Amino acid sequence: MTMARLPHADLLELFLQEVESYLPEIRQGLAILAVESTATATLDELHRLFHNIKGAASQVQLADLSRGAKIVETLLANLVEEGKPTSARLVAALHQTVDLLDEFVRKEKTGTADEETFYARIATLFAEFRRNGEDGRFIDDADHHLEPDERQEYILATRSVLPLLRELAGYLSPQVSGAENNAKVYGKLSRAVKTLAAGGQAVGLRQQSLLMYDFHLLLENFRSGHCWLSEMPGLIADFLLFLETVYIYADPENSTTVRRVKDQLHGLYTLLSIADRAAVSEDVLDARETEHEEDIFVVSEPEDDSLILLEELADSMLFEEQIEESELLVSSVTQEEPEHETFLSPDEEKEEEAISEEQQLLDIFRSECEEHLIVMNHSLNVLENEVKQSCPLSSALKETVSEMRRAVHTLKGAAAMTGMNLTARGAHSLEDMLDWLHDDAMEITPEEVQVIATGVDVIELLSQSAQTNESVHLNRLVETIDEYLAVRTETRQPEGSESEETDSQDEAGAADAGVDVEPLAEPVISAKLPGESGILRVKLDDLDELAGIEGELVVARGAMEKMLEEFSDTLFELDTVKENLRRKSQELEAGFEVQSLYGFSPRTSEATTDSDFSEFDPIELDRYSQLNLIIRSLNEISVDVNSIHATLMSLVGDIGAQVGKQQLTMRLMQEKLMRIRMTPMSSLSRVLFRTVRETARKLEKKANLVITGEDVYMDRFVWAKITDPLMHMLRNALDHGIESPEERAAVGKPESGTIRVAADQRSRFVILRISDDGGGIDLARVKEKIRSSGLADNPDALNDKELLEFLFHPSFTTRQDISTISGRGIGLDVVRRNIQDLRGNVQLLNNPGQGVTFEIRIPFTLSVNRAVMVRVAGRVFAVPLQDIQQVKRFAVTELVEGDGILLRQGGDVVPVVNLGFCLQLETRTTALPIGREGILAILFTKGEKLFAVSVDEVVEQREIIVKSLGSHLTHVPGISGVTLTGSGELIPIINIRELIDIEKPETRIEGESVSKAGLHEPLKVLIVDDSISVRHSVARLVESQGWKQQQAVDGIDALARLETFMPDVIILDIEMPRMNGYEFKSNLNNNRQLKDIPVVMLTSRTSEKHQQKAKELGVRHYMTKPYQEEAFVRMLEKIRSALSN
Amino acid sequence: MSSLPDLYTLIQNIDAELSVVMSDSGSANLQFVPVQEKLTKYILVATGSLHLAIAIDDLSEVGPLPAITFLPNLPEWIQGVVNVRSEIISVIDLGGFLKLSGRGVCAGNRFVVLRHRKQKIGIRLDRIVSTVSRAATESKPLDFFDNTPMDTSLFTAGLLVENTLYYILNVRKFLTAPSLIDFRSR
Repeated sequence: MTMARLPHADLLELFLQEVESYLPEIRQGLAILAVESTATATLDELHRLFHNIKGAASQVQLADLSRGAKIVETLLANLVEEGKPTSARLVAALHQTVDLLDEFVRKEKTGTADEETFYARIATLFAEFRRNGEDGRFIDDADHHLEPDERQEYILATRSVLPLLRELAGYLSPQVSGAENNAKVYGKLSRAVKTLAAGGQAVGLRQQSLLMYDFHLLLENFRSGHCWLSEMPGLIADFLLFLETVYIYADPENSTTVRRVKDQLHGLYTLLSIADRAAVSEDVLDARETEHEEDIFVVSEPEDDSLILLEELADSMLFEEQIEESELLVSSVTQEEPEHETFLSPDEEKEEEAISEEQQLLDIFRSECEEHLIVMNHSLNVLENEVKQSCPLSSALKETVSEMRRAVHTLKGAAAMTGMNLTARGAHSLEDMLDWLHDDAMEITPEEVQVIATGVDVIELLSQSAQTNESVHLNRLVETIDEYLAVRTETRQPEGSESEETDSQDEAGAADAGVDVEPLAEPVISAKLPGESGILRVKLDDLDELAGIEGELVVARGAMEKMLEEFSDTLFELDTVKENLRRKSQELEAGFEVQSLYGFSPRTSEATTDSDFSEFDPIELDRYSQLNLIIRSLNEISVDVNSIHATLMSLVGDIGAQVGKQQLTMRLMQEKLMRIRMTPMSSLSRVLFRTVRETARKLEKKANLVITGEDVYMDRFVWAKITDPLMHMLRNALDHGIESPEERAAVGKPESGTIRVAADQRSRFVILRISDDGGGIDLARVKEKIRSSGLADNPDALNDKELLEFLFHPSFTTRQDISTISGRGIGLDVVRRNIQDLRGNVQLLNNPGQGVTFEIRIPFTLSVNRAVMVRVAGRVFAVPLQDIQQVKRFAVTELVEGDGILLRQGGDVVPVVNLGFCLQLETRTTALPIGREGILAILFTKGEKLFAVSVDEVVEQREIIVKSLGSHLTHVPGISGVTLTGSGELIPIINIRELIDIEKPETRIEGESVSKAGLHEPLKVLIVDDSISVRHSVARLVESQGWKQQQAVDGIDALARLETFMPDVIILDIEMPRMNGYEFKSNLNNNRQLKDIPVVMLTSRTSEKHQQKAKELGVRHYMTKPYQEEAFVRMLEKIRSALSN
Repeated sequence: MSSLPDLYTLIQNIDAELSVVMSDSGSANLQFVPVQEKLTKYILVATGSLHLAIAIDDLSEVGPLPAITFLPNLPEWIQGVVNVRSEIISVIDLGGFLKLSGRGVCAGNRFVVLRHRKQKIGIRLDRIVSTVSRAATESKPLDFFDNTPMDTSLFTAGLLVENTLYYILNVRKFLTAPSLIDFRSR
């Protein structure tokens, strides 16, 4: 602990002493080694000393010295471990190392040591040594000699190349006829991969290099035409995709990902060996360097038919590894709180790294999964809509199946790659089903669509869940599909699958062997939504554009820095001029009185007298008096000041232009970032489709969901928040709206109901319409319910709109029974609240017999907004622009006095409340304003009604960043957050629609709430003193208390200040030029608004007479200079406390 | 400094030796082993007539109170929010929260920010008195003192420093108190 508190210089000094003390020991050790080359104890001791130097150097932040010592330490450790004799050349190298250390220590004491040179010399010394073959194992440190930039460059280059290679692989033809073309493509790929392998080797990425080399050999094999499989092009492309994953990491060496990709390659080799009816040719293996051999897997003997293996490629790789996703996650959870975090062993550290890497991989996989699931659900929806009964598989339907199959296939590969074994297995099974449909089936039935739907649900569940019990669903799905296919194809299961199936059945706990698919339980619906995964896939173009903008900002910063430099120079000039001015002003002050006594006679020198020029009239020859000279100097200073002023003005112009440019760039950047945050509605559709599917099944109703406007974009956060209300409304539509098939048939409607979700963007808002073609809302039942629950005295007097409003009332339901779907009366009120939280609103349109439409209007983002800043009761508040319909000053003639004040707007009268009253800052204004000004009001709609609040002033309109109210105040009624000004002040953002709904006490004591709010304001102090020192010292003291202050140099200046600044207290000196303190206080006393401001006389006059005079003028606080700071602050606090109370 | 790995080995060796010693000696001997009692560092503050001792570890900020921004529709003891390095923190009057009688609303210009996990709340103070380090045995149960005219469930014990009783605030309990979090139902 003592060491930790020492300053760095002291630590360094200690370190140098320590190294110095080691040097004689090291030299002594080397002397022994020179005589006895196998002196193990000496080698041990030397190893310990270099180990200490390495550690200590690292502690004092001499990183390169530490790295140099590490090289020697590693070398010595190898020697000790292997018990090799030490050669004379090695001893000589170590001697040189000691000399280098000695030199370093000496130079470091004078601050001239160069750490980098030290490291470079050590590295060169031992690299040379290694090349001479002294110690082979030292090769492991080869990468330390590389500049990190080189490796980074290689990784970046590889990242760029791999997608291109994948694109190239897309040109491979699965047809035999394309063999010639394929050979060319394979050749290109092979050469590129070989280059990457060589590059990897050069920058020390040994594992990657080996992997690339193996891949290169495989490609060579394909190129030579030794082997051909139609699926190979696809697999090659997939494998290239896996390689891209490897290079996502900044330092991919030795990662678990590499292992997995190697496993994939292993699979490819195995497949190749089977397809070729031979193991990978001996020459391929022989071609490898001996040192690679240990890394090259042994090719397994082919035991099975190649095609089966192809189908099961993913599985064979997956099931080799016994870790289930769930286990993986469990182990990651247990790793979260290691008991001995500080002292993890290297093995534990590796394990931890591997787990974190796995987690990262899982996150990436889940993000990718989103895209595939969207495609799968989209295809599923088409199938559900098209296949109402058994029908032939048209080419369009086949295309849909094919589209889904591609998504399932890619998802399977990605799941296998990530180690999501259960997901991959589910996808594999579903792919079987889709393959059969696509390749063999002649027709498709609703039952088959249901099997697919369950398959999609299971995959979605598995891909996003870590629960082991989901494997029950999986097993059931696999069994169902297998049995279904067995029945439909009437073919025998391949040998070997029987035992697998038996295992599955065991796992499933003797599941029912029937072909009916048991749909998933309710919780499945609550799947993760886009934006909740914590991972975001961003288009490369967007990132490039952002990087471009960032570049512009860097250039702009450079320009600003230059201007700052110029500004600094000008300030320096100004300082010189200021000094001149001060000197001249002192000369003027000192000389003026004396000179004025004797008149400003012309300046004389020893060499000249007046008589010399007596023949000249003063007009004919200028005579310079002292005053003349000073005036001349002042003129010069004035010219200098003008020049500086011009420079500063020009700089201000430049800075202004630059700031404008930066504002534009920042806005551009904001828009780009916003675009990245945006996601289309299509990302939500699968959840909505599934909600409708599941709910319809439970209710035994038939319904189609039609989504339009899937390309409408909104902030991910907004989509995530709106999903629950949307799902709720869909369930409501099915439960309350869509009739049973029989009822629909009876009224001449199609058997299957239709629910439509339509999204439409309008300016900064998105309009979502959820409509159904059901029976609509039975208003008679609504009335009945209102009456029975006593919510209104006379429901018959209410119009339709007013009746429908009751549906948003908490606990209101027209259902007699309660189901798991709806009917509990918990719903629409929550829906509305959620939408209001998003600063949106919802409207309900009822069309009895024809259905219901909900119209939701929400801003597409909440993070950045434009707002109108308004001043109310002396405070500033922000009102989001999108909430405002109009801001207008209403003349008195446009106002009506009724129950409060009403505005004439068009043909309507709109009630207006003063915003200060809603904010508990003022009493309610009920009387019409006196004078011509009228009322400045903000008009806004709530539902379909128009409302207005009056404000004192509109300050400005600007862009705001919305911040939450902190960890404690999660929701304050009427306030949706705060925004920050440039100076860090907080401005509350008003949720105006919510605010006017809050019940406020009508009988408020005037001024009560104002004082409550006023208590939190910082004390405002006006300091009036002609001494700049006093003003500054008082100002500093005031600001240290978190209070605000302004200063005035005398009474006149103070009166001018009071026109714009209303202080809580005035600190007043007595003697001041122009208007003294007594005169100033008299002035205050004559002003009704100012006379009660407390005044503290702060003066050096201590006499009773002065104090008495102050008292007569109403001054209650008198303090003499020099004052005690504590007493002064106490006095101000006392005044403040009195003001508050 | 230079021998950190050795230090680790040394600690391991010492632990191993101690475990041998402890298993060899009877448990009766253990009571004679002198134990250095852990000291807790407190900041002593005053809000109105209430004197508090708050463990330094439970604080994230101490200092002059930034300008409070008033928010409507909140109980009077929540005075508003402040901006502390771009983090929004609510400021409360603890006396008002505890419904202490005979005192006005705290109008001091100092504050401390209490923290527990992600929850942060500022308490407005009249004075920051000093800091002290005390062992747990130096604190006294609150019933030890005669005059505790309030609900003391949020305090763990009392510290007597220069004849003034400082209530040790249980920050975790305070920041998770339902009446603080769900203030609207209060």
